[in-house]
Amino acid sequence: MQNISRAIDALNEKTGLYSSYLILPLVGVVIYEVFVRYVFNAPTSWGFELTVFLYGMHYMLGLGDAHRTDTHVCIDIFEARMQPRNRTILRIITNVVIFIPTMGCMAIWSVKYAITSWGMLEHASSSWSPAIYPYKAVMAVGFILFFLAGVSKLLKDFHALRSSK
Amino acid sequence: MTPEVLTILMFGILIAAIALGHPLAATLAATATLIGLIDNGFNVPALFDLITNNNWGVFLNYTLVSIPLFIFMAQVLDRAKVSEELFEALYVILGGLRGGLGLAVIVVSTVFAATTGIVGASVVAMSLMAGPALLKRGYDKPMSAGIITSSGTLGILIPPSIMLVVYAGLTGLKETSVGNLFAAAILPGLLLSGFYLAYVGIRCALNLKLGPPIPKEERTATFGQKCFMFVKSLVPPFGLILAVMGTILAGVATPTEAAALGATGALVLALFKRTFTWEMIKGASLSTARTTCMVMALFIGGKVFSVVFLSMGGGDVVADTLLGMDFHPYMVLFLMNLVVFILGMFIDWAAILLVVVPIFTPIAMELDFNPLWFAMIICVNLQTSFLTPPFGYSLFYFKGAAPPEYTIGDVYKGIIPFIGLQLLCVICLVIWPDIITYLPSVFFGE
Repeated sequence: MQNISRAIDALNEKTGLYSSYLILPLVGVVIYEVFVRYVFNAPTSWGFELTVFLYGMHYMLGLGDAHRTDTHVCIDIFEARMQPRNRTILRIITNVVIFIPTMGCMAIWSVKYAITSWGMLEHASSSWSPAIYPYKAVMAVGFILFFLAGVSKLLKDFHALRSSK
Repeated sequence: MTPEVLTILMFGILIAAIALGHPLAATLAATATLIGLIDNGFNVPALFDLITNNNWGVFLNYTLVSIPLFIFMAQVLDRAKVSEELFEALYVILGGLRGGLGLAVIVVSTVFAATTGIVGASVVAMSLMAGPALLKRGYDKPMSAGIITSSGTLGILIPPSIMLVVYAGLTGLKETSVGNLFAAAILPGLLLSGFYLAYVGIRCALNLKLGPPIPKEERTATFGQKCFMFVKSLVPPFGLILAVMGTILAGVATPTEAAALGATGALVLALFKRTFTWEMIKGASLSTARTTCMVMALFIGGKVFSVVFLSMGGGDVVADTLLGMDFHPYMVLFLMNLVVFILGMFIDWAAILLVVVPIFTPIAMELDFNPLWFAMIICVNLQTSFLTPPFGYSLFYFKGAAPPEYTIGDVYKGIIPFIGLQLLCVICLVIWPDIITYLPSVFFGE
């Protein structure tokens, strides 16, 4: 069980690290767009959409890693005062009741959403008309990674609970 | 179940679930899922089709693109250590005055608030830099803690500001576009900063013990040296302010483009400061991704919450209740702000905005409030969410980064007058709406 949790964490860590570099092309594309518009008076047809796609991938692929590193905001004023064992039990309960079903369904439905899009090789209705289906797939991957980060936490809490006996 | 019952149930469950300590983004989404399922007769596919469509809408939201860019800019600036130089200059220039170092902290924070849109980095930086300095000079501990936390928090209000971007992305109204909100926030931000300066100046002038001046024998810098230091340290931040706010207000660049210009400017500055290394870029990218994901997760969860809430008719329930009591419009405004203030004690600004703005905006429209004015009242009020105990982020950032001599009691005690000043600022904005609407009308017309 610990191996599974370790594998998930490693996957999220790597994805989080590499996807965080997407901020650099994001800056680059926007600057390039400004540059060609003012200097050559020739705005690109693709700058706007590419910018949005980069931003979307940037945060979607990092959600899991942010969960792994406990970056997401939570109100732990009560939780922090509990005994470690009780805290672990509470965390397992909230994870199973709040996180797993909701994020699980979000992941499943974003996979369905992506599959539908791939099925018709969906393109945007704009002048550049880029393919949309890869980005819907990225969104699905992002939600799966986020969901897995929660699963990893659950496994770790189970392990902590068992070894604390 | 009727929408009335569901509304009460939804908020009841949300509050109870939040207290359990699970990440807020998931809690918002889960509460919405439960209520949404009760409302639509447990039709899981229908609800999650709606939610997924909505998630895709967030993925394509161009307004929000500037969020990672502004965060990246702040992270690079933080690592380039530009605020240190300005603080050192003001330390020498203002150190001789009663409370001078406190004033220096407020001025530095205000200037840097105009280059960054987030709060965490600026409060941490100021705590590390000014926390020990004020302690060493014998400044009153609660007051020092109050100065650093409250002025460090100005970054979320003084544009560029992530909070205003989220607000714009949420409403999608022309009146509350990012550009308009940025222009509208300048004067309120400066007013607040002015309140802080006046408060610290007056308190320290009356009571020497609060902020003793640096002894004469240590003040050796000549007037010329002081001027040079000051000008030299102000060039980098003003260059950045010009690149970001200048281009937005002049209508040359969209906020997203301005954010990218600012990020590039910050990188150039790092190059000059010789802090531009691969390690620095790597660290800044990773912190940027984490902070962005934190905000975006809340955006996703909060959006799910508001979509479900509005689709089951909860918005009408709140609106009918508030408007049905036939209160004076200002009374309704007061009640809405009271809700925001109380929520701010427990949850952070992004979650509050995402939950209340979709509910309150139609009510404000119904009462014929100027949307821009209303937005700014809410946003200035929201600044308190960083500072109000028991759960204020800036307080925790400060406690984590400042010397251990500052106790959490000092922080709680010191912050109270500054929360009072913020509420005073909100009142001023209600009385004199021109403070908000003047600059947007100058730059963008009505």
